[in-house]
Amino acid sequence: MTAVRALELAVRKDGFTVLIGPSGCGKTTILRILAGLDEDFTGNVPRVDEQRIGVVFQEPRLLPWRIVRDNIMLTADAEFGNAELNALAEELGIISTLDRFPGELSLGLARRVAIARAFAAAPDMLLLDEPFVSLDNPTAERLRRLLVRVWSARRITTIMVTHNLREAIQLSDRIVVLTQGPARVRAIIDIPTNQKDRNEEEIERLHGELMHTYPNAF
Amino acid sequence: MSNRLYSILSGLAILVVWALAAQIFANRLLPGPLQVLQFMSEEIRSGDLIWHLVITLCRVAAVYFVAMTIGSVVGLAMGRSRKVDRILDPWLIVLLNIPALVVIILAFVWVGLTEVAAISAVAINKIPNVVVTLREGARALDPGLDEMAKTFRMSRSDVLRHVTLPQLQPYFAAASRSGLALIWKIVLVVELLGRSNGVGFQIHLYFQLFDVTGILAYTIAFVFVMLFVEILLVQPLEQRASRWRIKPA
Repeated sequence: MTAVRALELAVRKDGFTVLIGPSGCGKTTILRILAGLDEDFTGNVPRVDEQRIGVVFQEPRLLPWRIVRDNIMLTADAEFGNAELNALAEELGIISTLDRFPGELSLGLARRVAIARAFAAAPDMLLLDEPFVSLDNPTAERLRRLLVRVWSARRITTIMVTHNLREAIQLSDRIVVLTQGPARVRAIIDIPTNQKDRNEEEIERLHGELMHTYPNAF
Repeated sequence: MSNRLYSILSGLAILVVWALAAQIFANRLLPGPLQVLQFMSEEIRSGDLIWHLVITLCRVAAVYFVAMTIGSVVGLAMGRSRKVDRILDPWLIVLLNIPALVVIILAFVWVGLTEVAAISAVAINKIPNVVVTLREGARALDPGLDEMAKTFRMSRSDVLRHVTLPQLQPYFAAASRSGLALIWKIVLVVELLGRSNGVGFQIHLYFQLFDVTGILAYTIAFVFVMLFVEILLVQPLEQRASRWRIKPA
């Protein structure tokens, strides 16, 4: 089955690109190809073995038999030491969970650990596969804000997949709208303002505009 | 009254029934617990009991090591690759269905009454069980964690140590547990048939003398040793390995 066909993606270096489209349009497949997990494709993709990749999967995918600290440090960059760990954990609000096992954490906390692990790897490219799915709204909202803060301080080239337009507007500086599968690019929307400075009002306005311009796209 | 107390009382009841039966029948072929205990202490003082226990334990350990190593490698290969599974499955089915006794006899006939024959005979009996258990384990490995390890470029040794082995640990534990129980019983048969030392050999000796006291003394001594191995070695290791299995907060 072909999930993606004739797709050309323009991703901003050091930017936050969001791929958005109806469910089943092949977003996750694109991410898996970029992550080097799906090799059944033809075309040009930046060679995975030439760059470090950090991934936040839909499920946290932590090692249940290692404490949070080890989960993050196992795949962390060589330069990422204890001081960096404490700073990042503080930022993400997981400092008190460092010596606990993942099984003791709520899904929201486990997601934060997964995000910490991805940033700790100091990747050249960060891939996020609907990292806030199946969280209640307030928790998801809190996590999105945390992500904006952590990301803004590091500016790693990031590609995120979601089907939540509001989330896309809140987090990204470029939105790539995909068509129903096999996925093709329908539109590219750049958002000039800084993620950190975006307010409710602006997000609401853009959301309304995009919903109007691309009906049935999300 | 706690459940533990029931267990202890029930255990004591075995001794009481045994002692009573020995009293009632008053026969040389059914010695009481005290007689057996006395014989045991004599054998311990002479050093015989310890010597034969150690010999048997060494054989159990050797078989355990060989069977777990070969069984794990084959089981993991079969669980990971459909092709290997298809190729080796008939062998596995044949081995699983050959009676232990036949393997032992054939090993002694073909290889001779040697230590190698004894150990391999028991190992061949045990290996199929390890293979089946570890194959299950390999099939149950979480592909999500594998992908995580792959994208984060974990080294092969890290993947093995932190991702694969912890997932297989319950299967190793299950294979070890059922393995030890099976191995020591078969080792006694091997010793009875073709070795000149070990607990099995002693039981054979006392069987020929129709000395039930001796048979019971050696059997009970060895059962206790294996219980101690279970309580002092297997259980603590398992507990340590499953520390992380805590209920979510």
